[in-house]
Amino acid sequence: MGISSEGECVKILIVDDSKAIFIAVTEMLTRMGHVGTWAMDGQKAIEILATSEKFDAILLDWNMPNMTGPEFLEKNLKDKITSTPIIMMTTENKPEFIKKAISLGVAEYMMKPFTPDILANKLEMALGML
Amino acid sequence: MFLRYLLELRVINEDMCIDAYKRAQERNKSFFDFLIKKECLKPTQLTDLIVANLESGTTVGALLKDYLEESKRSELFNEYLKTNQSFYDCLIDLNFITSEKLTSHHEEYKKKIPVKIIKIEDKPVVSETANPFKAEFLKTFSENKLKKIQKLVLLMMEETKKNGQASNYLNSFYQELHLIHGAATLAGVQTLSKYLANFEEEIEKIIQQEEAVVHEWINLNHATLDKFIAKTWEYRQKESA
Repeated sequence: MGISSEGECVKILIVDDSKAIFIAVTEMLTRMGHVGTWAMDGQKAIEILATSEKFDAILLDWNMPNMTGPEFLEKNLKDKITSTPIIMMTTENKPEFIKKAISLGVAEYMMKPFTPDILANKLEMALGML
Repeated sequence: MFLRYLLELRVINEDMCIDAYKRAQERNKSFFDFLIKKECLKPTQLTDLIVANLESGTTVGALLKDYLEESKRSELFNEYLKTNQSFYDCLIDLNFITSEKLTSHHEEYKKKIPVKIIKIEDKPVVSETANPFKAEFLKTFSENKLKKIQKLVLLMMEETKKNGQASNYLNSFYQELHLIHGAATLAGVQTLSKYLANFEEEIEKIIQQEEAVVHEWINLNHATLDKFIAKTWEYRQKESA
């Protein structure tokens, strides 16, 4: 298992239009001793990131209404909204998706659904701890 | 360096760099290749020149004088220089950036370069001016990256053993290979670049398959994966020597 509950509390922004995903991921994070905050799309994530609240990592869904994951990343590259490591979450493991995510600056790529072990390891990788 | 500055600004991306680099490499033929293309020199004559060079010790350039008149030589050489475009010219040629934008970014970049006083006790570093792409490659494929890749193989094997989601680590493995491949291509580490391209292609065939197929592939290839990592690191170490 990756980041343990004995370690420092990590704050994660979960950007996903599915509340069920947010609840499931937050439950996993809570067991690890971490905290999750919800943004239901890319636009909401920008609003949250504009506040003084700081995050250690961002879990970003690919398909969302209003502003998709790639659209958020493109805006981030242009406007430099955040330098927080981003983990892209998708249901597809296609090479072209992975390459696009890399070119848009994501730290890691994770396929949904995932187990708590995989989430912990991907977080460690994104935070440069693995 | 200026290229890193453009990448950080996202004026261009790594894939664009690779395309421009390949284009520049294709164009950067030697003067002899250029003369052959222009039909000023036959391939057999070039062979004769090389043989004569080996026998007499006279440089090929000096021997070339017998084949071309002096006026023709300088005229051809000027033409050669014009067609032998650099990496940045290829970026423009491929419409990745306009000449005006490149000039304006270069002006901004020059203003931002900090003045550095080199102290004698400074540790030697890989010279960026000598080969900036090579320095970037060595930085990309660091010891930490090697450890990460090795760890990913272990995680893939663990997931396979417990019938879990090995493909969720194969994607990270693929991501790292793709980044190293890009850096190696830009640095001109051709053997490693080709080696990684073949492996990337192989993973692309597997990564989208059902989990059972991914598990079978990992079971069959885990020893090959270890050897592959050792070999890529060997290539990397040769470059840092």
